[in-house]
Amino acid sequence: MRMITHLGIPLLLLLAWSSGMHSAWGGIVNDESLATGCAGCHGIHGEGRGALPPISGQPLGVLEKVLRDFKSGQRTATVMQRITKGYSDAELGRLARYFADRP
Amino acid sequence: MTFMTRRGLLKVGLASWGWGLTSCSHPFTRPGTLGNARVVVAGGGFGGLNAAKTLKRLAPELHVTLVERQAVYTRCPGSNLVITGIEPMDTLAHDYADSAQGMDIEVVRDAIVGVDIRPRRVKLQTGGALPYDRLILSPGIDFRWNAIEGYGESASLTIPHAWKGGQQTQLLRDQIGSMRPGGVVLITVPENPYRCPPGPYERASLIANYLSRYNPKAKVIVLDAKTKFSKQAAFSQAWRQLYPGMIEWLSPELEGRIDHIDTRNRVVHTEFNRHPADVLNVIPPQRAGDLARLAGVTDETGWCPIDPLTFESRLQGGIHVIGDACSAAPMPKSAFSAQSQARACSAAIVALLSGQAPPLPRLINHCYSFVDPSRAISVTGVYGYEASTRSLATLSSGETAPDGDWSTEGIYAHDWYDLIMEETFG
Repeated sequence: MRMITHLGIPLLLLLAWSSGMHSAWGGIVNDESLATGCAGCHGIHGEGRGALPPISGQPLGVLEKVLRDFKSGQRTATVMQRITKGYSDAELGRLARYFADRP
Repeated sequence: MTFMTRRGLLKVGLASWGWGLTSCSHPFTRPGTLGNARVVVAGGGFGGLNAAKTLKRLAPELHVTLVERQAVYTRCPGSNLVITGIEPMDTLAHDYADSAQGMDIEVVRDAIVGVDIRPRRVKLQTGGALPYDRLILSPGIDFRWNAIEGYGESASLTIPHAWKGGQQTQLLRDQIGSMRPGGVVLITVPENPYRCPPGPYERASLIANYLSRYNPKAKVIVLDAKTKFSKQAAFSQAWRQLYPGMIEWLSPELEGRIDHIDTRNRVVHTEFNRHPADVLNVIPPQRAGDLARLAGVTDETGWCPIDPLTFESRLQGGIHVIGDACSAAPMPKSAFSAQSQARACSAAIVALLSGQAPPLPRLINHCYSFVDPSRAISVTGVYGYEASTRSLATLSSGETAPDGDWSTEGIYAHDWYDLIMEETFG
C-alpha cells in the first residue's frame, strides 16, 4: 500500500504532464467552464448587478442575437464586442443556451 | 485516517484516468469519494476566497479549509479612490468573520510555516498541521526590497508604496493631503510583470483630480521603467483633457533607469537626471508572496510557473497557485484575473478529485481604471488553453478608445466593484 502512495504521485504527474496525453487531457469543454468568464461581470448566477445586465433566464433567441450582434459589431457596447470575439459562433450559441436555461 | 483517505483517492484517480484516456468523455465518479477529500486554500484575498467558495459550490461534500493569518483583509483594488479622498478608508477593510459564512468552509487564522509534499500537509505557526489532497496557494505579492537602491522595507514607512492595502494606503493619502501648495507627487513604476498593470496610471489620474481641486498648481510625475503602458492612448487623452499640464509621464528612453533613491531628501536619481519630490510613491518591483517561496513553487523569475489547465505548479505536484503569484501570462495580475483563475482552478480540482479530466479553461480579465471619480476606461482579454505549450493564448483583447464612453464605463466600474466585493467577501 505504501508503494502505491510513493509511486502514485509521480505517476499522476506523468499522466498529467506527458505531452502525448493532451488529446485526453483538457479535451472536454464544458458549458460551466466556458461560462466562467461571463460571471466576472454578470455574477456567478448570471444575475447581473446594477447597470450590469442579468443574463440568466433571458429568452434564448434574444441572447443568441445579442451575442452575435456584439461580435459582428452590429450592436455597440463598451466591452462586449471585445469579449465576444474570443468565442466561436458555436461557443456563443452554447453560452446563450446555458444562460437561457438558468433560472 | 487522512493518510488512508489519500491513498484511496490516488487509487481511484489512477484507475479512472487510465480508463478515461480511452474514453474521456464518459464521466467516472465514485460516490462518496469527494467527501473524504481535503483541499486547503492558503491566502484569503480575491483568489483564495473565491477558490474556497467555488469548491464548496461545485462539491458541497468537499472538506475545504481556508488559512489566513489576518483577521481583516484590506484590499488594494479601489484603494486609489481612497488615497484621493473620494471614498473613506474603512470601505477597504473586510472582516473574515463576515466572509464565507454559512458555506461550511473551515477558516483557520494562522500563519503557514512549512509545506510538506510527503505526506501532504501544511504546518501552522501555532504548531498544528493540516493534511491536504490538493493545496491552493493564493499568496499575492511581496516586494523585491532594495531592487531599487535605497528603497528597502524601512524606507516604505516614510515613502509609501501603497501597493498593498492598509496603512500604506493611509500614509500616501495623508501625504498628498498635506503636501505644500504647488508641490510635486512623483510615482515610480516598475517593469512588467507586476500587480495591476494600469494601476499606477489610474493613481496618477485620481491624484491629479484631487490636486486640481485642492492644490491646483501641484504636479504629478510618473517615472516609468517601461516605454509603453496599459490603456496608454485613453489615459493620455484623459490627462490632456481633464488635467492639462498637470501629469507628466517620463519614459526610460529619456531618463534611463532609476539609479538610486535618496529617501531622506526624497530625490529619485535616474541615469540621466534627478527628480526631487514632495510626495514620493515608489511602486517597487515585485515577486510572488513569501508563502510561494516557502512551498518551493517559485522559479528564478520569482513567480510561480503553472499549467493553466489546472493551475497546478510545474514544480510541485498537488500544489496549485492562483492570482498575482502565478505566471499566467498573457493574463495580467489583477483581482479579476485572480477570481477567474480561482474558479477555473477549483473546477479542475473537483474534476481531478473525482477522477475526471479537467475542463478546458476559458478565462477573462477585465480591468477598469477610473480617470476621475465617475468615469473609467478598461482593458479586456479572453484567454484559452493552448495544449501544445500548456499555456494561455489570447483569443481576443481590446481597450477603451480615447473617444470611448468613459461615463458608462464609470457606472459599470462601480457596479463591478460592488459585485466582486459581495461575491468575494460577502
